[in-house]
Amino acid sequence: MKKYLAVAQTSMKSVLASKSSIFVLLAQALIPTVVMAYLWTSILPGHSAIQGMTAETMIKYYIGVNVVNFFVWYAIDWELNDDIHSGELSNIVRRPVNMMGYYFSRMLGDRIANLMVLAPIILIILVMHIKHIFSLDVIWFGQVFMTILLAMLLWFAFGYVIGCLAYWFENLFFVLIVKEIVVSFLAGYYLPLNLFPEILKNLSNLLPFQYFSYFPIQTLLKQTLPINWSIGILIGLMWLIALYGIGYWLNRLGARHYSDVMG
Amino acid sequence: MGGTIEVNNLEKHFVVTERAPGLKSALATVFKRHKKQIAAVNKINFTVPAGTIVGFIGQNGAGKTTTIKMLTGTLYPSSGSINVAGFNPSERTQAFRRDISVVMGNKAQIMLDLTPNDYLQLIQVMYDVDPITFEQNVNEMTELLHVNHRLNVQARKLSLGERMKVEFVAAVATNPQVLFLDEPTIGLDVQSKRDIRQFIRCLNRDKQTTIFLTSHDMEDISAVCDQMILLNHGEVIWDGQLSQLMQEFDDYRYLSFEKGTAYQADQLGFPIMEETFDRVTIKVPAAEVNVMTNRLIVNGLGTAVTVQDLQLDDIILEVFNMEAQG
Repeated sequence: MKKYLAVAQTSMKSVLASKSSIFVLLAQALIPTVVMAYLWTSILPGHSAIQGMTAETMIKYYIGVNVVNFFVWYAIDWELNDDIHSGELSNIVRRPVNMMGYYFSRMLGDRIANLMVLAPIILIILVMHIKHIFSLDVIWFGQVFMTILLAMLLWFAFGYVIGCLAYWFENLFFVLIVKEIVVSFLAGYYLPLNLFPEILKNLSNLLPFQYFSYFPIQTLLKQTLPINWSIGILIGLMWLIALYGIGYWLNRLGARHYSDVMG
Repeated sequence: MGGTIEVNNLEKHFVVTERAPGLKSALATVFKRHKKQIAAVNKINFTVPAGTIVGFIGQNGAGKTTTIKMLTGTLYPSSGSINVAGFNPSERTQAFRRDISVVMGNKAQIMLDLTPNDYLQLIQVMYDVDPITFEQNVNEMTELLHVNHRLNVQARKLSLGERMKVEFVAAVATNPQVLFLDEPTIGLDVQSKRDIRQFIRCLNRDKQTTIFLTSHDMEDISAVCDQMILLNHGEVIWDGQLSQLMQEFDDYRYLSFEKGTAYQADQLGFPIMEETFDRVTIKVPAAEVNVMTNRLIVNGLGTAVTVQDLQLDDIILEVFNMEAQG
């Protein structure tokens, strides 16, 4: 365990090493929300609404998207792709660490560093809402924590599976780009899933992506009934087991393939 | 067992794709690829006793790096067996990975955003080395390699030599039984090369670490190696003590001279090793150097004659040439 904490620490140090990456992180947190706020106040002026969602609820939704993203979004697939194709992976497989554990620790360190960068903003928000903190709903807080943790693990497992494809594909660039667009869309990153047509809603119910973003945001915004939340957590856990298994299996096969093609 | 390395009938085949030049063939490969299997390493056998420094030499594409990657568990062999310090590298056990270290001269392992101290801390925890022993090792080694004052500088800001030295410290501070070095002095200045050679010698002397070294720099090999293995087209063509190889060519000298007015190659009577517009080098038995020197001058075949012993790189080239001529 100690070694994985050490890996997470180095990942944190890497993020915090340059001022530019801190600036980029801050911009990443603020710009999309500001853009979406501007966009939706233009589309839905005053009290107009789409399927019951006003500009205000849309903005809350996008703030939720960014909050969840800050815990979850890490380009593990891109990193794995780079490491496999550059041969950097050899540096990792030679170390006395489990490969999946190593990458997960890197993601964890990166996410914690992100939160540290955002700490001043989070602190300001907390101070502004100090009276609400004392009336914090502990159950709700626990639910949010669990959904975000689940989203993080699912995102990692899914990204790892996609990244492992780099063992076989010489150029995974377009796969990763298309994956990013499709997954973001079906995760509810661009639009809440309740605004989707029925066919897309049904499709997203068959896939794990809603647990990356939409489900935690709904929990965060207290839009989920306890029974639906419990079912969601169960399905998410099943997806996690399946994706972990696939990732483990692909990595084993891929390591042998890597060995056959990389000189 | 210690740090013994044993390799038996080791083979590694790679599948490579080939295509003819031009857009048409590039388009054709989208539908069908022409695959070809190549033998990078072809049934090689060797043993390296524990505590030995072995030079693993070969021309580009000879299979050196592929062999190192198999010995370190990065690549799986196509067939054959390997035993490194009592482990089968393909099993990639944690204990095996803790017992070996690898330094690749052409590939940085240190994370460039971090300082050497950060990197070394990570290595200490990752390899579960006692922190006090680790710190002592690091202090000694960084002093020996003259990088002790650079440990808090971001790795990106270090020179190539400094970075390599930190890689060495990290690799050795974990007390490996076997240390694999692939071109460790590539691109380094004279002082850095000297520091690293001295460091390798001290390490081997003090800790009896087995060191498996590949290098194109014959000074590295002659300065530190006990044993030498020559690899050509994936096959071992020579395996023995370095001193034994040097001895085999001890009875020969290179005579180098400026072409005289009556110079004719077919009158020399000895093999030409190198010929330029105005100079020639021939290989002559040591006992005949004086006679040949006189003959060159008296017969007007050559002037400004110089005599030199065969250097290690000359000897290795000769071995490769002899192998090529069957």
